[in-house]
Amino acid sequence: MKKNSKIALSGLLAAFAVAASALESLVPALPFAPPGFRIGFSNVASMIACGVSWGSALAVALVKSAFVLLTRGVTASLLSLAGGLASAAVTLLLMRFAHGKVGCIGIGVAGAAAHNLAQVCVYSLIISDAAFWYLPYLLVLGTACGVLTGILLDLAQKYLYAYKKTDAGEHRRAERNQNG
Amino acid sequence: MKTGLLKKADLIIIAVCVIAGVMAFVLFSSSGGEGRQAVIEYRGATVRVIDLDSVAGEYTFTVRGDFDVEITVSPEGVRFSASACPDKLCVAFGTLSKRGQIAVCMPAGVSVRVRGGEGCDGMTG
Repeated sequence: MKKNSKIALSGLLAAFAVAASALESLVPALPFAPPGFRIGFSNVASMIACGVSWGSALAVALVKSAFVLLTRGVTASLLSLAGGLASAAVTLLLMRFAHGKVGCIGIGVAGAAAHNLAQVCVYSLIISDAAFWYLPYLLVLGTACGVLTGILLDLAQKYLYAYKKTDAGEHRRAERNQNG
Repeated sequence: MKTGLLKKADLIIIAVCVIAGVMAFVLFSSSGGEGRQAVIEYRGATVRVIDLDSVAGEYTFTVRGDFDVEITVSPEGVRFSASACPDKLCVAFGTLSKRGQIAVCMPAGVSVRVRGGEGCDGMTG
């Protein structure tokens, strides 16, 4: 993909991530989940960004936490940043070193787990160890949400690739041909 | 980068996460001896420990965190009954009655959890 297309796509993804998390905060909490728990639809955008480049992934994570800083304050923003960076790191690693072995659902679940673990660690550092007691719920529910975002990632990819064929797809096809 | 939907490695990842979660839950909910204690903490420091099995009637007290929160203790369990924080997520947790349950008020920095008793008496702090 050309550099300009990457920048444009990263911007779109960051905007989508912010919009998704803003919309999600309007939806009432899931009845069986602890309050404050969210499915993390914006992670779909983060995961797509990881497929574009690590810079794109970093940009989406930073924009997301900047938005949280403006709307929900410093603590929430730090938590968002930690979660975003951790899940981006895990997603990037999986896409790089386990490409072809791990599918969308695996990436979604691993990303969600990394997100939750990082948030619990940061929360316990800045506020209270009590956060670790939250971990069992987060791991189990986070897995379910990871499956859901993984499915959404798979669906989104289909449309994205249809889009790429129109423009940057040219470049990508050439790249693929080179690789055999 | 195009990735498939579900592969064998995905099932392993799912299994690891679920098993880790269940194990953590079993570990946390079985800690301590008989009975149930409510532990109230402010930024990691224990504010109060209440033996839930010996609570006779309902009572309420205030914890001065970064926001003031009101905690109600009853024979059923313990809950955030009111809070001065902006999002009131802590109140939405409802009553905690089983070991391993936890409610957190992030803006106030106050948490309440239920653990197994450790043979210590009524209240501290």
